[in-house]
Amino acid sequence: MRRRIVLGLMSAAAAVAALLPRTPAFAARQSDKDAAFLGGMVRTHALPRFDALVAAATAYADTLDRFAAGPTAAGLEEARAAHFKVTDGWAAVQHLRPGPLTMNLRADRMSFWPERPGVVQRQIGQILRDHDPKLLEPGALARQSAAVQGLTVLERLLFDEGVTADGFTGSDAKQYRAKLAAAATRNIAAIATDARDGWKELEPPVAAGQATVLGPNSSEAVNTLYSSAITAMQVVIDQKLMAPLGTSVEDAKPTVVEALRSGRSLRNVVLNLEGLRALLMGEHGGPGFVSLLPANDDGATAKQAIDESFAAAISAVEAVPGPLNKAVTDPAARKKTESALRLVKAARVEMLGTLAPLLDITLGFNELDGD
Amino acid sequence: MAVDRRNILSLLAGRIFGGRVLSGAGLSGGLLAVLTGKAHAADAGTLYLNAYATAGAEPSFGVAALDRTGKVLFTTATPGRAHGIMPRPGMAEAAVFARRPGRWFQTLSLADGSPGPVVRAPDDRRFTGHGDYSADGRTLFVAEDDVPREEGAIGIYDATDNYRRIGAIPTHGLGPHELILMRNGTTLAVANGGVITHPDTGRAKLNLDSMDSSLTYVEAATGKLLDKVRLPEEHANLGMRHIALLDDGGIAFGVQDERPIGMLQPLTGAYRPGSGAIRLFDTPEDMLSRMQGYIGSVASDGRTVAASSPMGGIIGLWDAASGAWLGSTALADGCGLAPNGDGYLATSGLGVIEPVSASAEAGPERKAPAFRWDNHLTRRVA
Repeated sequence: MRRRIVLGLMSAAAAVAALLPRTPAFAARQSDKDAAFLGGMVRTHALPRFDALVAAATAYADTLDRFAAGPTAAGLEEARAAHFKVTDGWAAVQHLRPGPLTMNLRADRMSFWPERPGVVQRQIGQILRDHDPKLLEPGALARQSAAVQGLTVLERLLFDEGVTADGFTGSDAKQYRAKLAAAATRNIAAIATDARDGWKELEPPVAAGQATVLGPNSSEAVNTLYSSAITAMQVVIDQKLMAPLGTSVEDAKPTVVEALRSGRSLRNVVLNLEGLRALLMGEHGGPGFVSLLPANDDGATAKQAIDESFAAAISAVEAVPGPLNKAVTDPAARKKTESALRLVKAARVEMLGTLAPLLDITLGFNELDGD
Repeated sequence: MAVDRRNILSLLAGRIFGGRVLSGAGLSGGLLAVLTGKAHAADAGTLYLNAYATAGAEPSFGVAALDRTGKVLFTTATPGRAHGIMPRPGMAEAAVFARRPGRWFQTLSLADGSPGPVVRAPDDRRFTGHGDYSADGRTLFVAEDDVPREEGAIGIYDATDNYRRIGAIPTHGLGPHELILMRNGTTLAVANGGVITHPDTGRAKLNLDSMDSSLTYVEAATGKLLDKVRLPEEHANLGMRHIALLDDGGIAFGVQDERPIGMLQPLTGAYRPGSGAIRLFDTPEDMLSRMQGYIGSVASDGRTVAASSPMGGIIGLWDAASGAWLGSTALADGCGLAPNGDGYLATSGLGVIEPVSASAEAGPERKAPAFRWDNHLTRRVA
C-alpha cells in the first residue's frame, strides 16, 4: 500500500491529464480560476475556522485541567462555557467534510453523532466503573472507541442530568470523572490540531492546482468540495431536523437531536448554515463558490438567490424556540421547526438547481451517496 | 469552442473515445471499448432493469425496463427510491427492493410493467436493498437488518402466496447489503458491509470504529452458517457490499472504504469456497486514487469482472480467473452494470446507457436525459 495522498493522486493527475481533450487555453484558464478559489478558500475560510476550533479546544483543555485540580461550582460553569465554545467551533467546520476530517475517523472522534442506541451510555458507564488510569495517559483515549471520545463523552460527563461539582471530587470514581473529562479535552485539542494542520498542508498544492486528497486536479477538487457541501446540507436536513421531527408529534424522536444534553442542537444548525453560506459567498474578503460564477446577469441572480435563501433559512431556524428536543413535540414550536426545515430545503434546491449549473458543476446521482 | 466542466465530464464519459479503443493499463493487457448495440441483436427477449429518479428538483422514483440498445420499454412507479431488482425465475415478474433503510419491496410484471403488491418490512426490520429468489422462483430471500438485535438477517417470503412472510434466518454478519443464491440452489452468499444503522437515524453509520465486514455462506433451508471470510486485518476499514457470481462458483466483490486511513487499498477481489482466503484484485494506483475508496456495483460476464466507480467516473475490468487488471473505461457517475453477452451494459446517474466490452469496436452511447439511473442494472434473460 502507498500513501493515497502523495503518490496515488500524483499519478492520477497524470492519468486524468492524458484523458483531457487538447484545449490547453481553456484548461489553463479554468484550472487557474479554480485553483485560485481553492487556495483562497483554504486561507480565508477553512484555516481561520479550524484555527478558532483549535484555540477553543486548547482553552477547554486548560479549563478542564484547572477544574480537575479543584472542582467547584464556578469551575463547572466555566467548563461548560468552554464546552460551548468548542461546540461552536466544531459546528463552524462540520461542513468541510472531505480531506483532513475524514482521516483517522477525526469527525466521528470529535463528535460521535448520531449515536448508536445504548452504546455510548454503556461504554462510558464501563469506563467510569473501571476507572483505569492507563486511559488517562496522553494519546490513550484516541485509541478507544469513537463513542467514548470527543464532545460525546464530555456531554455526558459535564451535562448529564443532576451533575454538579460534587460529582467530580471525593472518591476515586468521582475524581476519575474529572480526570477523564480533562483527558477528553486534550484529545479534542489533538484532533482539532491534526485537522487544522491537514488543511494547512493542503493549501500550497490546491493553490497550485496540484493533485490532493480533494481531487486529482483543481476542477475535480472544486466538484468534491461542492458535492460535500450538498451532503452537509443533507445532514442538516435529514439528520439534524427531519430525524427528530419524525412524521408527526407522536412519531417525533426528541432524543436523536445533536448535542442533546448541552442543548446546542438549534445553534449548531445555525452555525452549520452560516458556515455553508460563507463557503458559497466567501468571507474575510476571500472567495466563495460564487467567485466562479459567470460575470453576467445569470451569475448575479444566482449569487443573490443563494444569499437570500440562506439568510431566510438561518432566520427561520433562529426563530424556533429551543431546545429542539422540546420543540419537536410542542405543536406551536413544531410548526416553526417545520417551516425552518422547508426553508433549509429551499436553500439546498438553490445550491442544486441554480448555483451548480452556472458553476458548470454536474452533480452525479450515484456519487453523492454510497450504497 | 468553449469547453466547460460539464463537457469534460461528458467527454470523459465516452465521447473522446468515440471511434477508438481505449487502452488498458498495459498495451498487452485487454482493451476496453464501447460496443455498438447492433452487435448483439440476437437475444430479443432479454430485458435490463434499473431503478431511476426522474431528472429535476422534485424527482419521482420507479423502475425502468430497457432493451439491449438502451431503449426504455416501460416504467413502473415505486413508493420511494428503489435500489436492487431481481427477476423471478420462470415468471415474467421481478421484485424491486427499497433503498436502505428499506421499508418495502414491490413486485412488477415484466410483460408490461404493471405493479404488483407492495410488501412492508416488519416493524423491527429494515430491508437493505437487495434480495434473490430460489431457483424454482417460489421463495424470495430479502436481505434485512434485525434492528433490535443489531444483526444481519434474511427475510423469507412465499412468492406463491402473495409474498407472505414465512420466516427469517441470520446472515451471521453485520449490516448485510447484497445477497445472491449460489448455483447449487441451496446456499445464499451474503455481503455483510459490517456497518450498523438504525431506523431513528436513517443512513447514519453508527459503528465505524468497530465495523466488521464479512462474506458469509448460509444454508437457505436452515440458516446454518457454512462459511465466513473477512478481509485481511489491514483492510478492516473496507466493507464488502456488492457481489457477483463467477462461472467457477466463486464470488467477486466490491468494497466501500468506510474509514479512510490515507492508504491506497484494493477495492475488488474474489473468494472461492475451499480456497481458504480472499484474493484481492490488482488495480493500478492511479485508478485506485480516482475510485476514491468506493465501488458502486459489481458484475461478471463469466470471463471478466467489472466494477463501477461513480465517484471516479470509471468502470474497471479484471480477469475473473487471475484477478489481473484489464483496463478501464470512463463513464461519469456510472454505476449500474449487468452482463451483456461478451461484455457489459452500464448505466449512469446522468442518464447514459452504454455497452462496455474488453474486445470490441467503439460506438455511440445512448442517453435518456429524463432519467437518472440508480446504482444497479439487472439483466433478465427471457
